[in-house]
Amino acid sequence: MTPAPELISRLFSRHSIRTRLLLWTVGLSSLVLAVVIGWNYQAMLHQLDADAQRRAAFIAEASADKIDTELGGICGLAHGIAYAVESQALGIAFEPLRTLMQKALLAYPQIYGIAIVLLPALKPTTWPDTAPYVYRGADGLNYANLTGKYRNYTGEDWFYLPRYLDQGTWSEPYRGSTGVMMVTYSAPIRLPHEDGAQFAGVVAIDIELGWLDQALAELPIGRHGYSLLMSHQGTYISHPIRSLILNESIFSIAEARGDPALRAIGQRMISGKPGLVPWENWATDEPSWLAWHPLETIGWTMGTVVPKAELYAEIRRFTQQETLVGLLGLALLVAAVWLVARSITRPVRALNAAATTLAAGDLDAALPAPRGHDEVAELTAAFASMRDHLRRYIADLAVTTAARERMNGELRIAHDIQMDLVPKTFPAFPERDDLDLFAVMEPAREVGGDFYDFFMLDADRLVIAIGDVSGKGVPAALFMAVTRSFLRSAFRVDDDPGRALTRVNDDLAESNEACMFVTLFCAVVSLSDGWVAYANAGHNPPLIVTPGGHAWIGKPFGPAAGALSGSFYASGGFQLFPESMLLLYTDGVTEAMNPVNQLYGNERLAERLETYHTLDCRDCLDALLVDIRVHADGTEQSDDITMLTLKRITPGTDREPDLTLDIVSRTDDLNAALDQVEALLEERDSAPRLVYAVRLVMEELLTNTIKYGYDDAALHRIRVAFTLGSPATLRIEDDGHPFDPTAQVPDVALDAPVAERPIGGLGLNMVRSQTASLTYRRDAGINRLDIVF
Amino acid sequence: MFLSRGASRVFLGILLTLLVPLTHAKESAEPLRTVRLALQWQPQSQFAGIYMAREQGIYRAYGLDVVLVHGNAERSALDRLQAGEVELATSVLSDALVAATAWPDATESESSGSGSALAQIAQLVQQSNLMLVAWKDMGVERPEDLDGMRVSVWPSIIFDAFFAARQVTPLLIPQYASINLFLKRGVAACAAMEYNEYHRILQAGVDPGRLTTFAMRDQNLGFPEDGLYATSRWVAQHPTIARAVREATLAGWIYARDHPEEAITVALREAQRAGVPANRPHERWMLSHLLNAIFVPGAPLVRAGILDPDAFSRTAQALFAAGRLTRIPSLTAFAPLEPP
Repeated sequence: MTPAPELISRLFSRHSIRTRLLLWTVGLSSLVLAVVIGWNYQAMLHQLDADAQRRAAFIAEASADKIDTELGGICGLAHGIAYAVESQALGIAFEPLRTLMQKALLAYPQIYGIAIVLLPALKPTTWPDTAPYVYRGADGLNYANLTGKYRNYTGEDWFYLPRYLDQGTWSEPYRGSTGVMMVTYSAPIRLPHEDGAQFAGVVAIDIELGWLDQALAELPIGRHGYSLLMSHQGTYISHPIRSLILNESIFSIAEARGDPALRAIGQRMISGKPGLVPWENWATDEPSWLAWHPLETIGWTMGTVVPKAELYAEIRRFTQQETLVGLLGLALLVAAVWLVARSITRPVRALNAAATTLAAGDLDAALPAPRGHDEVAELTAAFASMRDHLRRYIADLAVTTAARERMNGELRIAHDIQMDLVPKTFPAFPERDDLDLFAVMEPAREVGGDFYDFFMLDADRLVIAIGDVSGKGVPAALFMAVTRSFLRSAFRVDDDPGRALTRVNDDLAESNEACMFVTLFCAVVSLSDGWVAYANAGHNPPLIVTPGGHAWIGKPFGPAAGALSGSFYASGGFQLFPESMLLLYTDGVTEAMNPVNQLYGNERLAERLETYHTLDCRDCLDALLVDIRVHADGTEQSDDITMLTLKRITPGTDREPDLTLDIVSRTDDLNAALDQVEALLEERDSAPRLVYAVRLVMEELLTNTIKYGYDDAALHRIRVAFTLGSPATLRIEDDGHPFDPTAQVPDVALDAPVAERPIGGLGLNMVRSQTASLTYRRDAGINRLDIVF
Repeated sequence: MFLSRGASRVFLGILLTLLVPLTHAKESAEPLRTVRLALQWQPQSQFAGIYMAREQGIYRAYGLDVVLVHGNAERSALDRLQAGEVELATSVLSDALVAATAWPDATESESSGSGSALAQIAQLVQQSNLMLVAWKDMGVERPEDLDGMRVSVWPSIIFDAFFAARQVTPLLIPQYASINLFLKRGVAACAAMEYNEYHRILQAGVDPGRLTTFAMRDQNLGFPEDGLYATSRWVAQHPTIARAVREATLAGWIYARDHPEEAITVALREAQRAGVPANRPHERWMLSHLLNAIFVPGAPLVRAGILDPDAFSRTAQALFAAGRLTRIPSLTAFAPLEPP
């Protein structure tokens, strides 16, 4: 389930700011309004309820007091007459008494009649009647003797009660002969007696209660309220339900309803203490308040019923007005919020549109003008400022980009120069099968000054060169081009590498105002015999790898070319045998860095080349490049990586030999064979040096085999296969003792004096000097020696 | 009840069926016989059976046109009977007995001294409802507590007998129609009928817990009450009419018993017509108590209307002992209509 806050935020975030502002404002304001109205309603309800209770109680009390006052006066009148009679000890004359009664009747309009009733035995002799009664008739005051109507009047409440209660007494209300409800107050007449006061009779005043209903109806108890009056016994004296009057008491109703709570309320009401209870209007079932107050004089209870609904109506009216005002305020609030929201969202929307236009690349789109000094205005201003900055930045960027384009153009030119200058077509000499040559140059990001070159000086000699110009870029590239030109032209004049370098150095230094220089290694390789003449102007020593190991071509070594004219460069030389590999390289190889700034190094280069040298040149360089990249491990290449490998190939192994001779191990046969070979060579117009060399080699090696190769005296067959070509090759196969002529004498010993040479090695040394390479293999009891001239 | 309500209806039906041919003959032969009946008191359901006999046309079915005359404090029903204003009257048994021997007519009818000036037509209320009600908070818990207290009573030998038996001497005050003196606490105790005054006290908001009551029937002073009477002479002259009155009145009471709310409504209407305050709960209370006293639970229905000889004897003896009777009339003279 989604948590509520998230839900709300999701709900609201979907809408626009204006909608959200409106929703929140209206929602919260409505909530506050509802709470305030509800609270007011409750508070008012409470207040008005309390007021209603007070009003009900107040009306009850005030009415009770009013009725009390009315009736109290009558009580006083009754007692006054009684005192008058008493004071004269019944000696009062009848007529004045009757006049008194008539006057009282005239003075008190609510009195219906006044009677002075004595015990029969106490009737004064002067009185004509025992119970004179003056009362109102249709046409004035009437007179009667009550004994005519009430033979047993002593048993009537109006006589009986004051007699035995010995005090003025109110009768229970009753309906008089006129049909009007009446009540009688009787004051006892007491005569002094030796045993204390003695009851003599009563002054009874009948009061019509018609005015009570009138008075109660005039009470301000609201339209649906009413008042009631009940006797001391709970009997209704006044009630809007007329049938209850005098017939029912609150107790009879409680009994009829089986409502003990009502009976309890009735008991409280007639208890003589004021009170108030929630009530239900019997006529309308409305919830109401019933308050009551005792009438002290008469012992009755005055009650008022004030319906709550009337209060509620008042509250409802007020609440409706309040709600109306609140809603009006809410509407105003909504309008205000809407305006404010619009003042925010309009510029924001304009900004949004402008931003979209900007994003599309139109920096000249019109922006909304900032108005005022609020946040939106600030935002608009900031947006304009951003646009201006953006515009400037883009202008700057265009300039910078142009500059960089230009620079990149230069770099590309330099790169093109560099790449154009080095020969890139491989195999370099497809018509020749006696060499394998391959070169690579991987320029760094900015153009360096590496270059390599190779070209045939004549049919047999190959010039190879590698160099590294100081500096970078176009000047370096140009310097390189110049160097290459000078180098090529120098070799046309003189084929000695040392002298060529000397000349190049002087030529370069002559017009080198930029003081640039170049390290340069060049060599002239005689492909026929494998002799390599070389010179080095400050370049990394090349590496040569043979099946037996590796060697650095260290000396001679001269200073870098181009810096200083007049430098002398000596030439060196060495024999490059077939199966050996020569590697020229620049410092970009050995100084390739890895992420922790370790150099690739000479040792690793030598070790790797020993492993790879049996491959052909292209594969070997590819393997080396891979290894260098592995070493660099993503580190950016800082310098050009340039490498050139050269390998001599012994041709003829695949060719059908021009001459194959099977000879026996005799010197005569040897000589005959030599003659046959010599004849072939001459027939083919071979170089005299080759004829000499072939004869010397065959003579030396075959003599050696015949002399030392066998233990027995038997004749053994020796096969000699000669192939003419460039170069010429010779294969000798015999089944004599294993003998490896290549292992006998290291060629470095050549420079040693003759006296120091090992005994028996002279012949072999001669052989070596005349051959380009010797390759020995023992195979199934056969010695096989391949000789390249 | 001996008979169920259904059975009693059947009984009533049989009664009417038996009597209808007779009445029919009378109706066709001569007009209704008008008789005047004085009731002891103002309209209330004490007389519900009589109202119903009239309302339901039972009296008419018996050939009777009964005119009811309600009594008041001024003149009792027996006064009216004695004065010849009415032919019939209701009365409690004790008052009737006193009148039966006190009225001069008695000597005329019988020479033996067992004669009766009054003849009972029916004994309706078999059980006593008379009681004394006292304020508990004025210290009345037992009959003895009434000694020296102000007690209002109707003149009655029953209360005298009660006080005598308990050996108490209250300060007696005559009681009339109202109980207001009691309610205003002018007396510690007052006389009451259980079906009327006692309930009025309750209806004045006084809870039974505040009252101590002494029912006379519990004090071995329970005498039959309301009965229907005429002068012996009238009964002797009109035995058929007397019997018809008896049967019709009983039938009216049976009807009231079976239709109590209807009876109460009629009683209320009578009260309203007479301008007497009345309310339904009070009338209901009254009727139920009276019905229990007329149709005594456990007694056979046929006993209704019959004067129990023992009760007659006890009542007469008590009155005689109290000096209210100088002689005791014979049951046959007093109640000539009783079946033998």
